[in-house]
Amino acid sequence: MAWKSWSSKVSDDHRTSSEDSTEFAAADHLGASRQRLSWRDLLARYGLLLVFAGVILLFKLLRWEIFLTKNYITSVLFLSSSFVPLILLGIALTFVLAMGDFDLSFGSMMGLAGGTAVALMVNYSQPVWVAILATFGVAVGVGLVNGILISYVGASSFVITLAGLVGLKGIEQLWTNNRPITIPVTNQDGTGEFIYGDSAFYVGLGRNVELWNLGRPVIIAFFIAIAAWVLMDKTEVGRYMYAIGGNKEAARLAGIPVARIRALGFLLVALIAALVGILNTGQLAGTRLNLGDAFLLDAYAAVFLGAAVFRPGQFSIPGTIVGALFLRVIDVGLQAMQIRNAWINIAKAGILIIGVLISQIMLRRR
Amino acid sequence: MTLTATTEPIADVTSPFLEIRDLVKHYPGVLAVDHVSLDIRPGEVVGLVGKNGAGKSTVIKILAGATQPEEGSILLDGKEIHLHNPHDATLRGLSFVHQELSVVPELSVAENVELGLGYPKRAGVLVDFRRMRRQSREVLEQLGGGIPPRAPIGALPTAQQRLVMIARALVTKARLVVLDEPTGSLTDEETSHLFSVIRNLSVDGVAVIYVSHRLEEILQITSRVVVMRDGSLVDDRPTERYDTKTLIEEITGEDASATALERRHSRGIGSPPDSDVVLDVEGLEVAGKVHDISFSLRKGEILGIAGLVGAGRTEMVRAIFGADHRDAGVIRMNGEEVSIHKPADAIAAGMVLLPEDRRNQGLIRDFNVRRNITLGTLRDYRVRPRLPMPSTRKERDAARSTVGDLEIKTPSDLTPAAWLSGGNQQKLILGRWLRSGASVMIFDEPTHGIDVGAKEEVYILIEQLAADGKSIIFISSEFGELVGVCHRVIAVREGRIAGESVGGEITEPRLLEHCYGHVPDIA
Repeated sequence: MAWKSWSSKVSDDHRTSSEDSTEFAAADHLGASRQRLSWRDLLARYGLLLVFAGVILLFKLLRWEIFLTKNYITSVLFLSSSFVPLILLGIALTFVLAMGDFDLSFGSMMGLAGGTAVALMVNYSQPVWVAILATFGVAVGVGLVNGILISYVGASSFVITLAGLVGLKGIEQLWTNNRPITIPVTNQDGTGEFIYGDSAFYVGLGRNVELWNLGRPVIIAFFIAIAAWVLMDKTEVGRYMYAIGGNKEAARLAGIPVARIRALGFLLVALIAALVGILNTGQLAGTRLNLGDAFLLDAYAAVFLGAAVFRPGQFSIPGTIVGALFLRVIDVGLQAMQIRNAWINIAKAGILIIGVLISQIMLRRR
Repeated sequence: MTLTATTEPIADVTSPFLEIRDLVKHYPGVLAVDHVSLDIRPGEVVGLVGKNGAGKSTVIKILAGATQPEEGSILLDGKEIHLHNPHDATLRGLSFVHQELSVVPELSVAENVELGLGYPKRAGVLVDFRRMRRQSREVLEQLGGGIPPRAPIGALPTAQQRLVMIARALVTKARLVVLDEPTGSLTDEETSHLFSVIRNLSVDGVAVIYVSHRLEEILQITSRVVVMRDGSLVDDRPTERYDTKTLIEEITGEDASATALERRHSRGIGSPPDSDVVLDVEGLEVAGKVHDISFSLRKGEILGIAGLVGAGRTEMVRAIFGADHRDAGVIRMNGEEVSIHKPADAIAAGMVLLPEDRRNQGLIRDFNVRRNITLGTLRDYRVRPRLPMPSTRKERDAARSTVGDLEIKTPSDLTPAAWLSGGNQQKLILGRWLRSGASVMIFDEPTHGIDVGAKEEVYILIEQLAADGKSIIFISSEFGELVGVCHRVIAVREGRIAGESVGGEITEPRLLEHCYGHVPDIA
């Protein structure tokens, strides 16, 4: 090529090899340098994982007989009703946070989805497939409204999804008359006759399978986690998401359809929240009031903790998965030690703050 | 106070009250202010002129306390003062009207006039709005704008907002008022009111520093002119010893002019090639910024866009590229009209833009070199043609060949782009777009912030791209580099094309004349 002759002397280059050793490497999804890791860099990069391992070890030593036995893992740690919403909502949130946006509405979306599906089956006697399709339809509507208002119209994602937090709950209350709805089953273990024949499928979604005695929702969450990781780290869309999070204007000038991909993020959040709502109400065989509220802040905690795990300040699907597991271990570990709920909450808050502080300090060091 | 003061500005011969001694200020890669010394006497109106980047704004910023010099001192009434922030400067009677409007749109005119000066109080607590309005009305009447003190300032036209800013400077009873391009949006009538005010200030013993690109105004209102070039103060004379021509010569500097011409001749740069028109822009309009711009660009041509900062050059190319909305204008590529509404459309049509602010508009700083290079053409590196997943191997090969071809200096293609130097970051973005096979490449200030050696590399590269059949648009505030590199130069002033120079016509004085233009005579 003609510009081979372009001289290599770029005299304003300050970077010398001696400086490189002080710079620590970055995680795979940004594909940064992997060279010259000192032990300090390793500690900075994997420190939180070490803390995580230490915490597990501590719990194991203190509660040897029960903590992290096979049964304990499948029935307590991976308890579908607690673990699945945490990890799936965390994954959904990762998409929008990685692009520099915000979503507060997914907890209410989860509740609305559960309420919609169950109300359609029980109050309006619709077949299960109609209920599920209609629920995903509602989610597509919510995701598009969020996405269009935020990325095309340019409204603040904080305000729009805060409105969603309140408004979607209102719609759920309209559709369910603000009462918990129980899906009538004769036997609590999910066997036996259902009053509405095919709702067995719906309830069955939330029940356990033969495989390792894990809940179906956990298996589904596992596959979604893999799909989300492939999407974020292996596809063009995922690359564009990271680019948008890095610099929206530069991404737009590079020809990336920024508005469309941001809108896609909100659509994915609504769809995943709807799935979580369906799985959760299936497992509980009915709706609860304020179903998603508890998971809103926990999902944020998981994502931010995850952003501190591999590469400081960078949201990623693997990070979120580790963050969710970490939170769950602390939760069940402290429960196993019969520590009061109040202290569990305080401990989780402390760990979140420490995790985010570590990542901030790491970012500043660069 | 009447507006009849038509006497010449008074050049006071009393001793200076403000002395600037040997100021030095560096910005990364540039010596912005190089041992500048300046005395200001009461009642003087000093014109401060120079090209973009000559160091005028930096000197003003130091006086305003907005930035700190590395060396040198400022003496007020013979005593050294330290200006740590803008408030320090205000307290000492130094008042500034900056080029950018800094008003609070929700507040009234009176509230804006007295903003930050401590509103008049009643009983020590409540704001005395009546007195505040009266004070504002007095200064506003001096400016003759007929601006109601109660009006919310956001509802006023820009010109009147600027008058309010000037009123703010007047109300502080300053000893020195610095006006940075104050007439940019004023009508002739408003400008003449402003000039009366300046003369009145001068009579009252207030000194004025008047920064402007409008040389006619400088010659009309000032008593003394100070010229800056490349960070140094190169000339300081009474205004009557200047005319427009000598002033332009001082601003340009003969040496720089000669070097640029020499480069042009030694590289054999002539008129545009007689090839097909690749890009054709007709009637481009961006409300308030770009007006009725039409031009065409031939294959292999290097078209320079000259203009002063704020003339609308960047706005013009951003509108062509689809980065900003355009209100009118037809864009044709190879004779066919193309519909460009977003950057992706322009890129698809074969046009790319290398933005001036490459750190914030070009690079994804957290991405490594490889991912920055492949970002614009990610679809070319798929694992399989129909599977939208980039192949690590293909990306790596592409990035490494670009790094090698452009000789981008980086430890590896996995190094974060933020770690590269300015010149190498520029090459990185260029490499991204070379991979796209674009036929039109728009360079917005490509040598901004990179040092002299790297600049020459950029010029050579641009010449080579043109020789390879690319068409280049080269925006620059440095007239010298346009003279040294371009086949043809369009000058843009106040959003319109103000002149065109082809081949041997391209000289610095001619470009300067086009860019500075002539203001209408002011009564």
